[in-house]
Amino acid sequence: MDKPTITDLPLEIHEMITALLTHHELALSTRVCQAWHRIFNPILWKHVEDYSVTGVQGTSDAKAEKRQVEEEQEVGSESQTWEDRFIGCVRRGALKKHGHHIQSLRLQTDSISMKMILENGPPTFPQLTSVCIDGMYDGEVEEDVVDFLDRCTAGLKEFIYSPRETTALAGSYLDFRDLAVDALIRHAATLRVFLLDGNYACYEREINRMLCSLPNLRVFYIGTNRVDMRGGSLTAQEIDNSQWVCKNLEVFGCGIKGIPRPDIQPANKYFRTGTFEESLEVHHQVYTKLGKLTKLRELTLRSYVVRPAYWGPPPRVDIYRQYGCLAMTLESGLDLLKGLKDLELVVFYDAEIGLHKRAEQKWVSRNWPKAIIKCSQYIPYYEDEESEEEE
Amino acid sequence: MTVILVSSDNQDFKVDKEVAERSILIKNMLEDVGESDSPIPLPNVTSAVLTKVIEYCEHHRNDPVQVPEETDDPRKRSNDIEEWDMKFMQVDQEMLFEIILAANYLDIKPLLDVGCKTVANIIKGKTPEEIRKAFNIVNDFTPEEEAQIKKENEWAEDR
Repeated sequence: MDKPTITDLPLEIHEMITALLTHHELALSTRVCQAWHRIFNPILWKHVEDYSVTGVQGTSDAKAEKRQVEEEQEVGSESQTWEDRFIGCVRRGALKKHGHHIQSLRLQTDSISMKMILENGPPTFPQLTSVCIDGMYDGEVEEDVVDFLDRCTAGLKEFIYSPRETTALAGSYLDFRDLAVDALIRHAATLRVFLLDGNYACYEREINRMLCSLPNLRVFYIGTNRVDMRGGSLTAQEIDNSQWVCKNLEVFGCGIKGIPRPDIQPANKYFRTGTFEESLEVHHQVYTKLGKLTKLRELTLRSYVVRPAYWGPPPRVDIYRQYGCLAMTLESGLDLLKGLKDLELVVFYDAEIGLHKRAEQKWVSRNWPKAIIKCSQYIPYYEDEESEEEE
Repeated sequence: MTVILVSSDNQDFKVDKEVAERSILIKNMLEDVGESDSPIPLPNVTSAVLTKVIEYCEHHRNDPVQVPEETDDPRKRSNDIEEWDMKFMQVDQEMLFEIILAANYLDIKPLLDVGCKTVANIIKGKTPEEIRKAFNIVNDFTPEEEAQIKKENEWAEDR
């Protein structure tokens, strides 16, 4: 070969070189000449991400400096945000033209919706395997989610989705129900990470279907549904009756509801009271199931909290006590979770925690040696009891 | 123990086995054939390039095996080339790309890394026009084409 130039290098070396450049430097390289554009443009479009969030662009010092400068500047046409520029490119057809190169798409912004991607995107994303859309919800419907999932023809490995409401659509939500679950299950051969959060509606039947149909999941996390706090929960009874196939889960987060709690008073119409024996049985069923997920590193459980919508005033203590929540106590079957030796993080939202009692604390340090326990709230129910015990 | 490497232009290079084995390709070849005095032909490497590559391997003959630094952000490591390597890489661009191709062919990962870092450092911090000058490239875009690409890829540029 006589006189090789940069364009004569093989693709893997181009990728090694470009890995040492920032997105900015790579973008400038696409403008050098046609040969460089052919090589560097597909590499540039491989990873579309809002690096103002992901922090990949530049060094942290330079970024901080830049932010400070931006803050000091008057807001004008000069200080466009990343989103503004990306939306500009999308509207000019760049996503339609180059979207087929995208392997990972990470958008965590206030003004980019899935609808915009669908309307301005290519008919398929043949390389796309990793998606994170934490963004505005712009009136898209479940069929749009299905459309998007079906356009990802390579098979998604990672799907992180958190539609967020806009003022205009306050209180509305996006269905993530049978149709969307069907579409997601079409990625079962590849899907390892699934996270749903924000203004969605996805209920116990759908959640259970996913757990019974996605064998390769490593991460399954259903966050708090911000609309009515009700979605995103499994029913305790249903957990026992289903065949979960995701044996290799490392991260599991979900709500659990339908726990009979005759011991917590006063009861109200929203949750089951049942008998005490029934309550223990349901607890044991739930913990037996969770206890089989022996590869878990992170476990997040939420309870079905009976209280007004989240933007309302804080609930009164007596209402707060009206839970159908899991009791994390030895009596309720904590011991069934002792196989989860790798737990590094255990988070309970609005669950009733017995873990501040001495016996449970001992149990935790013995069985979950690496675990950090975080509780967002718990009923101050046992505290009195505990102080009595200690006396 | 020494081995004989033969460049594409049929020149023999006698080097210590230890030095030659910096190349994983040669190391594997030697392991496959076992004890043998037969010269190793390298039809993809000219004598000029092989001289440089051997110089590099001689200097780094005692380096420990490279541990991949996966955890570090690769985008921040571009500039850390050690002094000797930096001087070693002060060659014309034709030779630079020849060395990279040879390092790739011979599977000498540390040399390939240094080569890629050197190229990346030439690109870094330059405008497209400055890059063209640095690599002696003629701009074959029309102004309209270049403006169009700028518009499409603006999302990735700093402002």
